[in-house]
Amino acid sequence: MSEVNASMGRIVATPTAGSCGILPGVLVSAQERYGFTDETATMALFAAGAIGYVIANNSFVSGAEGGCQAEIGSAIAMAAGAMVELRGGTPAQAAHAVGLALKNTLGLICDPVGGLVEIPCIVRNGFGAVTALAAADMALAGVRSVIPSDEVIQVMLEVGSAMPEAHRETAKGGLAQTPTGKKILQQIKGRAD
Amino acid sequence: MRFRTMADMVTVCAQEGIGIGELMLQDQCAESGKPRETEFAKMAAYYTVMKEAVRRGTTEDTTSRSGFSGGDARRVLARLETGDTCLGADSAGGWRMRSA
Repeated sequence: MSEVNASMGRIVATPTAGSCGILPGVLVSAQERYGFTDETATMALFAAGAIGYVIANNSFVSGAEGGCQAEIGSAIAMAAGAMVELRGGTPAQAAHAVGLALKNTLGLICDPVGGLVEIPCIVRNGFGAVTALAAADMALAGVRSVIPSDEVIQVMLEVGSAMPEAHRETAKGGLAQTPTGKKILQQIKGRAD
Repeated sequence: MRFRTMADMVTVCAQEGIGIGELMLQDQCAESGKPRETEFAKMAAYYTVMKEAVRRGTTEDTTSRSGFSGGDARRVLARLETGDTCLGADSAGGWRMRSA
């Protein structure tokens, strides 16, 4: 899904284009596995939307504002909560899944090589899908997020607000400024000239 | 919207005896003023786009314009199909997009 995004294909931002691979990766593979209908998957999208709505209203969902934790982290939380509901968990369990998932991405910086939504965004989407499934399973197993999800969302806001500009989608730091990251940027620039 | 926080969401769901998805659908309709069928159809269309993108990503050439990405989903899928992944053989169970 994220590769389709990078190759200019049609995608749905969930919550952003940079994090568009997680929710579909989780839901489409789960549909293949469990054989539920498109209607069931659509209801799961509404559930994910509700979670994204809460996060967006209380924190942020873009890398430029809050780092990758806000994009990939939010997407994982949305997918984890939706998956819990899909698998018969309660709304309270879904909320725990959101807390568990978000805690695991706190502090994640946004550092796209060459400013493109490719490296490391694509693999972070892949990892994100796996993390969402693990968080859903933990919550369904009865594991609780001791720090309530609403409080974790506030921590994401706190950490994102304190994050240096270099680590908020500007490509001025992180992986984007590694020797290899800079080399890739030069190659892209050279081709454009 | 009848909720602004996760705690509100859980409370309203419990009061109404509904799930999170149903809550969102109801509140979305209340906010947009559009019928349930319209809002549902819109979301269902998004899911169709998602499924198509997953199919493309796992079956077609996804080399990006920069040339620095593409093809990884197919690589991972090929390994899943060997049934010998570190995540467990069953992790391949959900992936039949290639033949679909």
